[in-house]
Amino acid sequence: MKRFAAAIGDPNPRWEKEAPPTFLVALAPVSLHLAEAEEYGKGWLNGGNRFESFAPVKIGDRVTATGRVADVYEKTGSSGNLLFIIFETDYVNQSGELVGRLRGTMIRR
Amino acid sequence: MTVEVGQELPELIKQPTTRQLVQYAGAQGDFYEIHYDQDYARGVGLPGVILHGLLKAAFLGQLVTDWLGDRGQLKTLEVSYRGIDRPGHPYTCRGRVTRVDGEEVELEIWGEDEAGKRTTVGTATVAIRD
Repeated sequence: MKRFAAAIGDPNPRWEKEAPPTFLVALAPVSLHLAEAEEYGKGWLNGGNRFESFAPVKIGDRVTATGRVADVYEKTGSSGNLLFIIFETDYVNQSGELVGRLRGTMIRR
Repeated sequence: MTVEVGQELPELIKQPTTRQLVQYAGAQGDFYEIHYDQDYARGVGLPGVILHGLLKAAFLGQLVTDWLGDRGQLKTLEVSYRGIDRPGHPYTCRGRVTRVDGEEVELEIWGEDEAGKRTTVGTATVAIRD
């Protein structure tokens, strides 16, 4: 968490005890869900992300990430075909509480 | 502190460097080459290495939490990436209050490149304690 806060350049002392807003993405990198899609097109684009926080994540918590592909669809854009992959990851703490959810749109082109 | 619709958040200017992109790649675990390998990035049609979208999301998270301070919690942060941003160029985060409903406050947030183009747009909701 310390390395993450340093990497985003956010000196807020709050992140010495609590996870910064986008930290949970580091527990299950996006690429983990999506390696098989690399046969399509030649590169990735990140379309967007939605972070939901239901409870703060604190130092000492044990968080389990569970990812799933929520949707996959193809679109024809001005520069050719695009493959959209919508993924969702749920983050549950040691008490079984859902603390966060990340939704992302990854695009192969 | 009173929060009102239309209120602007203090802007946050970030100065991302190639070093920061490598730091972020390591901290997050995203080793896609377009963020640190200039030749690879040019090979896929980019002008050079570019910022991670998620790093820009983190900058916008900081914009909101800097403004919020100890007054509450960030509940949702949603962003769409509309354009690329390169290291060595300032990245300015801005936002404004769009709705106040009791303790729940909605914000419009965005990140601009040095030409003022909004390369990331989004919304955030925060819960402010009484």
